Amino acid sequence: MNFGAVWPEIVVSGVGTLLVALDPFVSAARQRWFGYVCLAGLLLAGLLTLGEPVGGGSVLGGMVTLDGFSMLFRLIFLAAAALVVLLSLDFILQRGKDLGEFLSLLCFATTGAMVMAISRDVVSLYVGLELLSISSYVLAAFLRDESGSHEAGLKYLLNGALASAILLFGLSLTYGLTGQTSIPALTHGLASALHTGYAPVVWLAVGMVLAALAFKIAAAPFHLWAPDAYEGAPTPVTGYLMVVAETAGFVALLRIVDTGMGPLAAHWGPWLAGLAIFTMTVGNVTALWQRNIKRMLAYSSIAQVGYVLVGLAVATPGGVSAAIFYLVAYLFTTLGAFAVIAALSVRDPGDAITDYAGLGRRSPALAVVLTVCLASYVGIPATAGFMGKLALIGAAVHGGMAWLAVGIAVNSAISIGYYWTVARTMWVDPAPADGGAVAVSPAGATSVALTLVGVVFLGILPQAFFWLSHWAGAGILR
Amino acid sequence: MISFALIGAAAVAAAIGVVTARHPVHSVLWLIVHLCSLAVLYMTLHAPFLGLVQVLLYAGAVMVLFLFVLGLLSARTRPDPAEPEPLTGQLGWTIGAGVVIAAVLLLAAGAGAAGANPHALPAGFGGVSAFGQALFGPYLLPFEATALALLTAIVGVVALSTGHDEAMRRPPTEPEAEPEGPALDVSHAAMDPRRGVGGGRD
Repeated sequence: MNFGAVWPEIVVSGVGTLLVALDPFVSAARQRWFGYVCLAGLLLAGLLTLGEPVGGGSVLGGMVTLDGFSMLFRLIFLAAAALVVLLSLDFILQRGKDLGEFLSLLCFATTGAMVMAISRDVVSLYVGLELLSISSYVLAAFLRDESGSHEAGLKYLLNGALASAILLFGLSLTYGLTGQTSIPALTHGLASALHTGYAPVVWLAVGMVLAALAFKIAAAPFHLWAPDAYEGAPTPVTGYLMVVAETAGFVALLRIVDTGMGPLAAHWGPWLAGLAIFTMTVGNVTALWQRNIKRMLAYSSIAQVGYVLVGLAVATPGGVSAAIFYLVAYLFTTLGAFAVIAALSVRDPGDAITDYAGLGRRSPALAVVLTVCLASYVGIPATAGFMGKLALIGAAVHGGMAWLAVGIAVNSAISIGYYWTVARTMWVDPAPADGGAVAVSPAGATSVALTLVGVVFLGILPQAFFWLSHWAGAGILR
Repeated sequence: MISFALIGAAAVAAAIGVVTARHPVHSVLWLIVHLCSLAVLYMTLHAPFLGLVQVLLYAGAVMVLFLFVLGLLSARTRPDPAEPEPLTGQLGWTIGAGVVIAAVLLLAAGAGAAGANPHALPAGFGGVSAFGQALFGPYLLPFEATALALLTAIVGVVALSTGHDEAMRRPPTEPEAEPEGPALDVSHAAMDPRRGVGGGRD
């Protein structure tokens, strides 16, 4: 058996296990070292991923494929995890929580997401999703002394378990129809099952898988758990869930629906298109009324999910690569915003938008970064979000769904309303009398700087990433 | 076919019992019936080892663990029969969805029954050796990932159940209880007619 293919996963899960094992023997004062060990492990896993041969064949009993898609998404998950480690060090330590347990759960969750990225079989993909989900439930409830975190964990657990059950039911139907769990085999099996009198079961299976994964990515109308879970979870975890858990949901959608159910695209495409337009509208319109920045960004992330779904709905290679590019842009934008929020809430737990009054004078650097991230969410030129939306609009027009392009444009206009509120509060409103300068730790500053570089780089020189996402998405639609 | 229908019906009935029973211990007992029916189904599907493991591990060990936990937590609390249903209308939705799914599957089963052609099973199918070969062969990655998921669950339980005590034991770095103190005092004072609102602490 050749384990070479999964060395990155072995390293990340090994670091997680190591942190659990060392945790009781390391005093609270030295816990910061766990963060550096964890970062080193994630970096090593990234280097190992880059060293993997990209053949596209199947290894480990057909469970794993090493194609461009699996390589890019492994790197996305590793980068996101490393940024979250940086922005959570002070946040967790300041609250007197156990950093070793927190980081080990983060490593296990990342392992699950990486297993999903490399899976070419629904069995390993589902197990990866469960590993990610179970770790995420605990992470959401990690600050259990705060009632919001408690509620977030419980809501996430109940809704996530329901979604997992529906997904399993749908996948068991596809197995019953085709006798296969391998995703490439599903592609042919489902298409032929459609013409042999099993059509209603095929629709039931496709519907269940779509509904369950819509739960996981928090697409409307399956999003009702998301605002509460995202608002109540610890701030670094909220960023992690929004980026890694949702991107992993998209990995499952791309692998199972776009690849496994690819021949049925003419049937599920319109449903995904409807889901996309409904999700972005619900997210943007509801965000207008929010007073808490985490809750506002939760609705904003629902809107972003709607944009990405456009790329999947058109079911063209251009759409897939635009969706992948937008997910990378979304990673840097979201983690940039959450790096700022986490840096601000290390000492002061206030998450109301009014708490950001006068931030432009109290801490100009953080305010500039948050403003750039909000501009990227809106899609202002020279930011990552602009290039992402450009790619999605182009894909929608070329894919014959120009009305989706109009939907993205209209929704971006609506979204200016609530992003502008935050920007105006930061730059125009006077600072509170007791609000001094904000002290940012080196780790927090590094995460802020790295995400800023990512957002601006993708906005100015996107060619390399356009090429990467095209390369990664090449094998998705067959 | 008839045995499948009977055992399947038993499994479904027991599963309905799990979710409708008002007492948690009754739910666990129904779950044991359900898991045992699944075990019999596995045996009729030529997977005797899986059936045995199902009985030993799930119906046996795991359910005993469930009963222990229930005994520690809530076995003595009597559910209030007059308590209103927390999710109104869920029964109708559940029955509706169940009927639709059952109808689709029964129609498909009717359509497929004529052309059913069971594959010949390889020699040794469902035995311990074949089971082990599959688990440590093609299914090694999901198997190991499942092991990691169990470890995660253990770490999660430790993180969520001990963090609270530790935070209480640790000497507080900031006076945390300060903001809540006066508010509680005022409410006590308001409830106690012998003490005026301005009376303050003893």
